[in-house]
Amino acid sequence: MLPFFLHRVLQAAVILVLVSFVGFAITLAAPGNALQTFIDPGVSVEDLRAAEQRLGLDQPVPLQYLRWIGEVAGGNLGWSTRTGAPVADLIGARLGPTLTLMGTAFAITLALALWLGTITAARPYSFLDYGVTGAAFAGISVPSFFSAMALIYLFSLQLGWFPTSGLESYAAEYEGWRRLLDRAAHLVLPVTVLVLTGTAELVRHVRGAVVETLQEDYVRTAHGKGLPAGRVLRRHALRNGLLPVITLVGVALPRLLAGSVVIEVVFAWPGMGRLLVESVFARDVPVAMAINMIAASLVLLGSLLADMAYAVVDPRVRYG
Amino acid sequence: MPIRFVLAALLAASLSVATAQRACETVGGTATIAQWSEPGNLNPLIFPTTYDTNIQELVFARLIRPLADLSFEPDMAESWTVSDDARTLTFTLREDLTFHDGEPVTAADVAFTFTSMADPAYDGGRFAEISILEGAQAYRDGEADGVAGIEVLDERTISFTTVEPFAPFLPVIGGVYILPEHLYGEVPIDRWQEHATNREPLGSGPFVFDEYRAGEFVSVRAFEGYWEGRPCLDRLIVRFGDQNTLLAALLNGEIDAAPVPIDGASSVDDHASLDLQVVETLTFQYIGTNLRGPVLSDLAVRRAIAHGVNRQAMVNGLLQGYGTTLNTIFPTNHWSYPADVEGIDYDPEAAATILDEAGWELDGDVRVKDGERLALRLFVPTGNQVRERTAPLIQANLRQIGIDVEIRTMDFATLVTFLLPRDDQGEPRPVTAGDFDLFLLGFGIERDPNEYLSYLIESDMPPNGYNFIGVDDDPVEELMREGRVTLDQEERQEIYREVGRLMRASLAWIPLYQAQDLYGVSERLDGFGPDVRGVNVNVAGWSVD
Repeated sequence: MLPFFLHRVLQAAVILVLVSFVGFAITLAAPGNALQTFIDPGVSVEDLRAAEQRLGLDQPVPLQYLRWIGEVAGGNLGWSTRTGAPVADLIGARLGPTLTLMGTAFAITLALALWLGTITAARPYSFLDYGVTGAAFAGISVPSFFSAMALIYLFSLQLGWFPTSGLESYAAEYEGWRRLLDRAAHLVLPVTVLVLTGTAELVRHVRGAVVETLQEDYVRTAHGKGLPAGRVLRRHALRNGLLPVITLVGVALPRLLAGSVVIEVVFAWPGMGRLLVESVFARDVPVAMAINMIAASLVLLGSLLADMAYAVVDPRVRYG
Repeated sequence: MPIRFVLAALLAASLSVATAQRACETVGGTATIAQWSEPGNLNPLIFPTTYDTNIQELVFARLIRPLADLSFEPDMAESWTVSDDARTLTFTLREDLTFHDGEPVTAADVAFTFTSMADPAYDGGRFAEISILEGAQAYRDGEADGVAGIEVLDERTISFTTVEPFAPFLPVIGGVYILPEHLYGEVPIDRWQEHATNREPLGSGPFVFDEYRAGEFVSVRAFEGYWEGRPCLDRLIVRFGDQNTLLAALLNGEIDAAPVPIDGASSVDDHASLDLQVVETLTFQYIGTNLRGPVLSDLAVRRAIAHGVNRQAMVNGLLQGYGTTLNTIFPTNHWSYPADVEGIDYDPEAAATILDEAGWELDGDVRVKDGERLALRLFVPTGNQVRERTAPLIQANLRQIGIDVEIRTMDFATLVTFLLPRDDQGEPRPVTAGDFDLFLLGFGIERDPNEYLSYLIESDMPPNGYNFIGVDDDPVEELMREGRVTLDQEERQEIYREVGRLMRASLAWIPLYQAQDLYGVSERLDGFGPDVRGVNVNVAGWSVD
């Protein structure tokens, strides 16, 4: 198994370098640069040009790329062209809030989707199945910004149960468990939106996979042996049905860190997605590239982990 | 005998006594306000945008500051004098001024701040503002050890000398926040942007910087040693985020004051504990025309566009009445606006006649002259929702008079690449007729109409300046140059008003509308009162119940 994964890691490294170059070229292909957004009567074009030269924005793309990748290889992600802040600090500050939001949502989504997917698979075409399927289609069809605003309107503005936005109540300066509760309250609405859309997607896959395995001979055999239905469902059908779901989970991993732009904007959540979008509009290449690279690494890592998970879940899979 | 601004100084001195025991409704508490974008740089000498300045003005103080009519009153300087030849301004600092860390504010700090702007290694974009100082260019070019025109006379006295009398010099001085030399002087100037002081500023303004959480808020706390007396609030938080998000937070009582998008005006107005404040600004929107091509260089076409666009409908519909149309390139509430300027009526029939007479004849739906179709591209930058929505209106209006408009929406950075084009090697090049036809953009006077200079003189056409449009109008240029050196305010006013009349006649910028800013303010917050100078003008006097 080890040589196989070494091979995969090497492959991933090559892909990363390729991604970095293509990503850099595409990012720089967007018209304009960070400084041009500063044009203002008080700023002369000579002054803009001088600043541009200091930042090396006037150099050809391959040269800028080499300089950047050299720094990154040496462990320096550089400085934001817009604010001068170290890129590592900017990303570091977003890591916690992003993981909190996306991780909470993902854990709930996964549990909910597995449960709903299995019970609907056990009773296909029942009232319950139709209900969940209908809800899932609704969840997929309604854009998340809309459900987010609807939830804010209902639960914040009308009922006053939850705050509309932000990480916590900034003016209150809570300490200890009160702060924890306050933060949890701020998490409820954004997590709900993410869970609604995420579960809607995943539950159909789980249901489909489990329904399929329920037709298999070994499931009939298990029933025939007189195993209780619940045990057959969980130990035989669900476990085998999980294989394709694992792939989807692996693909979802990058999202945990890359965040969700829409949710972060609507809920003023200081996450990675907003940082990426803002840096793209500000032509802040070092920040945008760092996030791109993190996302690319996670995609590769996600598929690698999914492969490993196959080996764990399915005893037939052996890498060698 | 120097001309002493005795009256102004006396008046201000008496005012400052009254406010030293600030009349606070209450003292203490935290207020939360909001803005629509995160600040970029908190060092005021690095490419300041409005979102940056809104934070900087809480933490920093300057020598003089603008009044609502954009004349100036003493701030950290208690008085100033002007020399007979009108080239030297001498400022005297108040006694016992301190920065937030307790160090005294001295003339040396002032000199350091202004000299930094001309440092050869400085690239924060503000050298041009002070390039009029004697010896500034020489220092910038590395030919001198300091700026000859900046002279520290003693601890509390500093003089500035310009190469020629420069009318808008007070606005320049009033636009620069004073940095503590003992902190900022320790950092190499070309590393200022990367340095921590760019995110954790320290000045001598009403509030002490407290915390900056990226993507969330900036927090500041009352400065006990502020020369005008400590602010009424203990703490002020400025959140940033999406317009509608912040509106929801305002409606839900999580924020005490926030700008309100026009679509949200009624929800704020109808809210029991919120007050809608309507604030005049000095910003307006216009259609820029590329004067280089055969079509738009024709005055008849520009006149037809001006009369063919229903600007009042924009104000009534898109602005819901929160604004006004304007008839030249100066904001209507600024002293430079000529009240007698000829109006621009919406009159599609007259517009069609103008085009007929100029030889643009209808061929189907679109007019043609000498084989040239009257078809124009309109570049629309994103970021201002109302402005974006004017584009289809303009398109529909102009279709009626036989002008075909193609809308191209793009982000601001992309628009800039058309207005300030580059050649294949990436070098800035002159604008050509093909780069763009029409574009939508806003312009605002920050402190003085001299800010228009680079937009209106021939030598500042790209790549040398901001005259994207290609204005080449000798009388306008002469007046704009005269405005810089004319010290008498009445004469100066007449000069800019004449520029306004000439620009109305040439319609190189087709003025559209001047929007008002809307703010929602909670009952809990007293004293919040933005005006043309910005959102925080009287921040030290805000208080919460």
